[in-house]
Amino acid sequence: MAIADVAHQIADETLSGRRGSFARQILQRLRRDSSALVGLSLVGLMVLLALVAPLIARYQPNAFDLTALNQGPSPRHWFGTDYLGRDMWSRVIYGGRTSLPAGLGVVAIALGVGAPLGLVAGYAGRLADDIIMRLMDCLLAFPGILLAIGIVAILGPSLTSSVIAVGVALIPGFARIARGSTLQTREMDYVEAGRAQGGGTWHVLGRHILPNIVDPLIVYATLNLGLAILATAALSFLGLGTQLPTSDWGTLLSNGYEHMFQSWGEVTFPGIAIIITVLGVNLLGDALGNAVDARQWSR
Amino acid sequence: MTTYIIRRILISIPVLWGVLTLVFISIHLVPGDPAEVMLMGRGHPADVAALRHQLGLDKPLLVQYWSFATHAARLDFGTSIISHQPVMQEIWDRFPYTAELAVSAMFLATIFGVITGVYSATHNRRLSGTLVTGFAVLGISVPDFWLGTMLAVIFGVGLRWLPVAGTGGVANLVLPAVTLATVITATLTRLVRSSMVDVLGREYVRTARAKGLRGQAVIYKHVMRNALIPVVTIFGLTLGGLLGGAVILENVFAWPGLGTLAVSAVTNRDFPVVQGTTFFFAVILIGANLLVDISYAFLDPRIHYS
Repeated sequence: MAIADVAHQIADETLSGRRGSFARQILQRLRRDSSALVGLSLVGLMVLLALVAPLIARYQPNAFDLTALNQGPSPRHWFGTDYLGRDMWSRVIYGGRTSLPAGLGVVAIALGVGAPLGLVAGYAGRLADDIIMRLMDCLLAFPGILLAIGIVAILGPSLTSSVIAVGVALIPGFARIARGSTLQTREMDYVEAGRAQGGGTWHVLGRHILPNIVDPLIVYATLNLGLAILATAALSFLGLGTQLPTSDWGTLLSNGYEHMFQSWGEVTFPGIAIIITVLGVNLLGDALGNAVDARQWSR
Repeated sequence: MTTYIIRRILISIPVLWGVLTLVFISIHLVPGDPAEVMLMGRGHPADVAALRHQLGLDKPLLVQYWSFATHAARLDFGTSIISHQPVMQEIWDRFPYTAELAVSAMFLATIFGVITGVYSATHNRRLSGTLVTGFAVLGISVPDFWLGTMLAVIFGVGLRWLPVAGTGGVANLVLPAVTLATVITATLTRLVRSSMVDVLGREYVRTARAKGLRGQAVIYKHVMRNALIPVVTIFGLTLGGLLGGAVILENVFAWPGLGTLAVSAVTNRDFPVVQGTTFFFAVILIGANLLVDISYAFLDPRIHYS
């Protein structure tokens, strides 16, 4: 009993001590990395604009003004107007209120389903591993966007469908990362100690393995957030995602594309909003990846 | 080597079977009656029943599965409910356009991606190298459909140099191929760069430098030879993105390939065409990855010994 308690205590202390210092060191590295700061600023700016959109929008995003159709940027309409005279500045910042949560929703689905699948495959091994990973191989056999299009075909075009579709298409990547990390972690002494002192499967998974595979999953999730925003916008652009009257950046671009002969602003600004956000997320993801990458530690 | 190739082909078979099964299941995951959904709720009950019969949905599930699998093995996915043409006929009609776009884009992307990747790795700590790397990060952050639209606005609508839609000649191919190539180039640059940086840090490179070999000779004789082997795998990695990008850009430039076929099939709820095109794309991707793996084994002898 006493030995089991000591083993438990050592395992917990090792775990919490390691995690505390690891997270601190990552944060310190991120603070010194200029691309991380640029990425964080870009993402922060876009999130802030989406949050305060009702306060800073100069017009209602769906308000028509038939006296001001297809106008270029001006002091009255900073980003110009679309084919129905709607203010593009207002529509772009309101679009972020759909596009940003959509991207987060995609990653939440992919992480929420993929990580437990990878965890179980890596820990249980044998039959469970074979079944889960072969299923993942089958999903990976489809080009991602086409798998998403296929799933939208099943569920019917809508914002929810596109978020689920892209989320499912990204599940195999998360499952692979979680499985790989679990395979490495389950051989560690502290996992053995957890098992030796009588910890059940779920206890070992939740207490000893999951906390140690979180870092690569967070990096992977950040890198995939940009992809998620791009893919959901692409589906909306193709008319398979967000449906009117709701508009995300993809539907704004789709409208702009249809009227590119009349106005260039309608297609330019929603695209720039996507680029700023995705660039910010990618810079942040790269920096996070570098900070966590074990090879970087030793240099 | 032969054993390796046979083993690699055998591994692909269960994946192909799994893909086929997923494509079969997809129609049964449609909320409600798939036949009713396909007729968009406007069909007379007799029409719905006729369509159910035509698609075999009135038979037991296992019978449906067997029938689907045996037909699919012969690349028969039935007929389109919109055009009433055999699905595979439509796919074969459209495939050359997608292949033309994908191959042209890959050709351009390979040339530029390898050059910029090697440059940014060898100029790692200089401003020019950092700029190239920066452009690559920017490149993967740009939506391909936005870039395509912008190029169409500038070179098609503004300058009137190039057509913005349809087919008919090399001029029509320029905008979609360049757009797709730009996005793939950004991915390739990053992958080639990281492969080069990895090799630059190896001990045999340090040894080559230590024995007095000049910078350029080290790069060409020792680094590039080893760094470009993984580039073959990189083709495999970018292939999914290439086909996906082609699907989207075909819709931007009204290019009559498989991408426009797939999207219009989804919009029209034409499930046989959706099933046929998704299966076809998966087969291409599995086949191409198989070729990549086999060619990789030819290039790197360590692979088939392991």
